[in-house]
Amino acid sequence: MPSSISNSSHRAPDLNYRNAILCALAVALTAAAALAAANAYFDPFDFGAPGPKAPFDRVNQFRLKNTALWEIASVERVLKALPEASDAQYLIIGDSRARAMTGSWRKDSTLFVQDHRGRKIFNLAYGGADLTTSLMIYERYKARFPKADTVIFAVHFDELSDTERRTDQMEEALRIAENPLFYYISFRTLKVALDGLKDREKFTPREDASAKLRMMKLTAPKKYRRTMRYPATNDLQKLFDDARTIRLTKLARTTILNSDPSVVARNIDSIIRPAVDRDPDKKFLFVAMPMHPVLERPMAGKQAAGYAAMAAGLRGLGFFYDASMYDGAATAFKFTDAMHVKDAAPDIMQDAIDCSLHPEGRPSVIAHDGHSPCPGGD
Amino acid sequence: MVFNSWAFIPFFALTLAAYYLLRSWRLQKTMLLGASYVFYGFFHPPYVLILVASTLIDFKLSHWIARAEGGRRRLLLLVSLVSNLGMLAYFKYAEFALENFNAALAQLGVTAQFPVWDIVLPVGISYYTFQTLSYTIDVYRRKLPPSDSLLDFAFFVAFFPQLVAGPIVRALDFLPQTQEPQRARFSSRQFGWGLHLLVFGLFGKIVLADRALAPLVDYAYSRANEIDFWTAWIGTIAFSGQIFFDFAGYSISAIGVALCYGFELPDNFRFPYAATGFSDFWRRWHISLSQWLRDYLYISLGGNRKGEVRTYINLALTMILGGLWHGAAWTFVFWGALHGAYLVAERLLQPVIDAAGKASGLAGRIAGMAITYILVCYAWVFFRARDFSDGVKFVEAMSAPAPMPAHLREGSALAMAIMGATLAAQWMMRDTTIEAVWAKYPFLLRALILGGAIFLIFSTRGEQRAFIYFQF
Repeated sequence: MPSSISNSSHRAPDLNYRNAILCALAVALTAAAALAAANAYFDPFDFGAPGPKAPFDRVNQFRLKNTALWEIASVERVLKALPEASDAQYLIIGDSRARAMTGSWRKDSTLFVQDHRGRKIFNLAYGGADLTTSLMIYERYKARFPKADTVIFAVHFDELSDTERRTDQMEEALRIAENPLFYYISFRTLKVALDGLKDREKFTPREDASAKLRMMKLTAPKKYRRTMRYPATNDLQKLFDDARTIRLTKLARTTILNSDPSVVARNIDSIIRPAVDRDPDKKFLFVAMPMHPVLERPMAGKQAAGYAAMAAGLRGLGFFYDASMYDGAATAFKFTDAMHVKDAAPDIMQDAIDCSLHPEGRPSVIAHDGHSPCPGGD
Repeated sequence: MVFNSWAFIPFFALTLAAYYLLRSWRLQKTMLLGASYVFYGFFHPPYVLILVASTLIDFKLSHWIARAEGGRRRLLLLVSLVSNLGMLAYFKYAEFALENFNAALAQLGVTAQFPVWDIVLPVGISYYTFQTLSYTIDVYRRKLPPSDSLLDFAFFVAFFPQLVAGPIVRALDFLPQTQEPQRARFSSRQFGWGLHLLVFGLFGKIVLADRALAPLVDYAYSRANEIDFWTAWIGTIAFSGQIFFDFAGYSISAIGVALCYGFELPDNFRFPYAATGFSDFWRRWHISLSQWLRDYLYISLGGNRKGEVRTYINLALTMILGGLWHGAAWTFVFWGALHGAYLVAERLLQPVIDAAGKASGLAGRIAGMAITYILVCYAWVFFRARDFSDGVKFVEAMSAPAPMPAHLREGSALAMAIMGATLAAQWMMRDTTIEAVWAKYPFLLRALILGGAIFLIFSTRGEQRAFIYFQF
C-alpha cells in the first residue's frame, strides 16, 4: 500500500511560515483597527460608538438600510438609557404594524410605553419582520424583561401560508448585539455610511435622539379615535367623508388566494408552538393585524379555510384577537395606509389586551359608541 | 459545525492543542475521532448514530468479505451495497421517488396519493457512504486488506475535515496514514501551510462566493419569469464562480485543516475553468467524485472495454447517476445528462478536435477553453434553477441577445471583474499548483496577500451561508 496519498498536490512548500503568519496578522489587525475607527465615527446605526461622531440624521438616512440591525441598536439604546424599561409586563413582537402599536409614526415615539391603564409595554417589533425573525428577537431579549408575563404577537396570515423565510439580516443583527465588535470591523457598516453620505443633502442634519429615550404615555387624543364601524373622526378623513368620497370595503383578509390549511397548521406547529411551549408561564396574545385591502372577492374556499385554520391554531396556543378587517383612512383613489392604521394601532393593542383579560366583553377604546370588540362580548 | 462558523475557531484550537499535547498515537486518533463525532453532532446529534452504524456494518462486512470466496463473497458485497445504498436511497431519494410515483398515479387518473415523508437528510451522507462503499469494494477486489483496527477505520470514515463535503477519501489513501505515528509530530511547515490553505479556502467561500457573487446569483435566479439575456448570463457566470469558490473553498479548507493535524487529503480541484474540453474539465472539477465514479461505476459497467456504442452508453449513464448523486431532483439528472452528452460528443468529435487543436495552437486552446466554459455554464443553469421550467426560461433568455439594463451594468461590475480575473488566473495556472505559484512570491507580498485575506474574511462576513455541497 502507498504510504501517502497519490494525487495530492498540496505538499507544503519550504517557506518561513512563522514570520509570514505574524506579518499577515499584523497587516490584518492594522486594517481592522482603521476600519473600526471609521465605523465608530460614522456609526450609521447609532450603536452608541465612543468618540466623536459624524453629524448625520441617522434615523432618516440609515434606518431602512437594515431595519433588523436598526431595531437591535434601538432596543439596546433604550434598555441602556431607561433601566425601568426592563420592568415591562408586555412585550410586542411583529412587523411594522405591530411597531405602530406604540406610535412609531409619532415624533416622540419610543419602544417603551405606558398605556392609558398604566400597563408598561416594550415593543420589539420592527418593519419587515416575519414570524421567524420576530421570534428570534423575542428569544434573544426575553430574559432582559423578567416581569414580562404577556407576549403580544402580531401575526401575519400571508406569512403562515408561505414557508419561505429570510433570517439573514436578523441573524447578523443578533450576532452584532452579542458582540458589537462585528459592527465595527464590518465593511458593510462602512458601505452603508458612505452610501448615506451621498444622500446627505436630502436630510436635515440631526434629530434630537433624547425624545426616544423616555417613556411615552400612550393615550391618543380623542379626535384621532375611530369606532369599530370605522367612520373617520379625524379632520382629513371627515373632509373626504363630507365630499362623499368612496368608502372602500375590505372583503378579504389576505392576498393569498390559495392557502393550504394544512400548511398554515404546520407552520403554526413548527414556528409558533415551540416558542409558546418554551415559555409555559407566559401568556401569548395573538393579534391578526390589518391587512392590505383586497377588494376583488370575498374570502371563500381555500382562502377562508386557511384563515380559519390560523384562527383555530392560534386559539389553541393563546388568546386570539382579530383586527384584520380594520381599515385605515380611505381616499377617493386608494387606502392611505390600510395596514398600519397609525393612530388606531395603539387602540387596537389596548383593545386586544382588554379582551384577553376580560373576554366576556368590555367597552372598547376604539369603539367609543359603547360596543365591545371582544369575541363573545356585546 | 462548519469551517466558516465562529464555533469552529475554539473547536479547532482545542483539538489542535489536545492533539499535539497527547503523547500516544492511539489516544491522538481516539481524540480526533471523538472530536469528529462532536463536529458532526452539531448538525443533528441523532445522525451520529447512522454514521456509527454505517462504520460498524462495513467494518464487519469487510472482514467477512476478505475471508469468503465465490458466491458467498459476492453475496456479502451485495449486503454492503444494499445497506449503504439503501440508507442513501431512504434518506436522499425516498421523498423524490414518492413524489414522482404520486405524480405518475395522478397522470393515470388515480386519485389516491401516498403520503410524502418528511425526511431530514443527514449532512454528508453521500460522501461517507461513497467512502465506505469504496472500501468494501476495494476489499472485495483484493486491492486492500480489511482494516485490523476499528479505531482506524472509524477514524477514516469520520475524520471531520472531509466528513461532510469531501474530498471523497479512499481507504487505500487514508488508512496507511493512520499507521504512521510520525504524522503527529508537529511540523511548522505542514502546520503553516495548512493554515494558509484554510485562509485561502475561507477567503474563497466567505469573500468571493458569499459576499461578491451570491447576491447577484440570487437576484437573477429569483426572476425566472422576467429573465432577460444579460441578467441570465451574468447570473449564470456569477453562479459558476459562486459554486467554484464555495466548493473548492471548502475542499481546500478541508485539506488545510487535515494538514494541520499531519494528514493528507486528495486534491479536489485543479483550475477547472481552464479546461479545454469536457474530459479535461472532469479531471479538474470535483476530482475525488469523478475518480470514484470512474473506478466504481464506469469501470464496473464495462467502461470502454465493450465496444464503441457501449462506451457511450456507460459514459452517459455514469454522468446521469453522477447528477443524481448531487440531489434528488430532475434538474440534477438533466445536468448530469448534459455533461454525459458533452463527453459523448467530445469523444465522437475527438479526431476533428485534435486536428483543429494542432493547426491553431494557443488560439485553438483558448477557444477550446471558452467553448467548454460556455457549455459548462449552460449546464450550471439546470444545477441552480429552482425547477426544470425555470432552467428552460434561462436557456431561452441566454440565447436571445438584448440591450443590457442600466442598473445591471453597475450592480454586476465587481462580480464580473472577479470572474474575469478568475478565468484569466485559472488559465495562467492551469499546469501548475498553488504551492508552486505561492513559493515564487516575495515574502512581503505573501504577508500582504495573506493579511489582506484574513482582514477581508472577518470584515466582509455577513450571514453564515451553508456550503452549497452540504446539501448533497
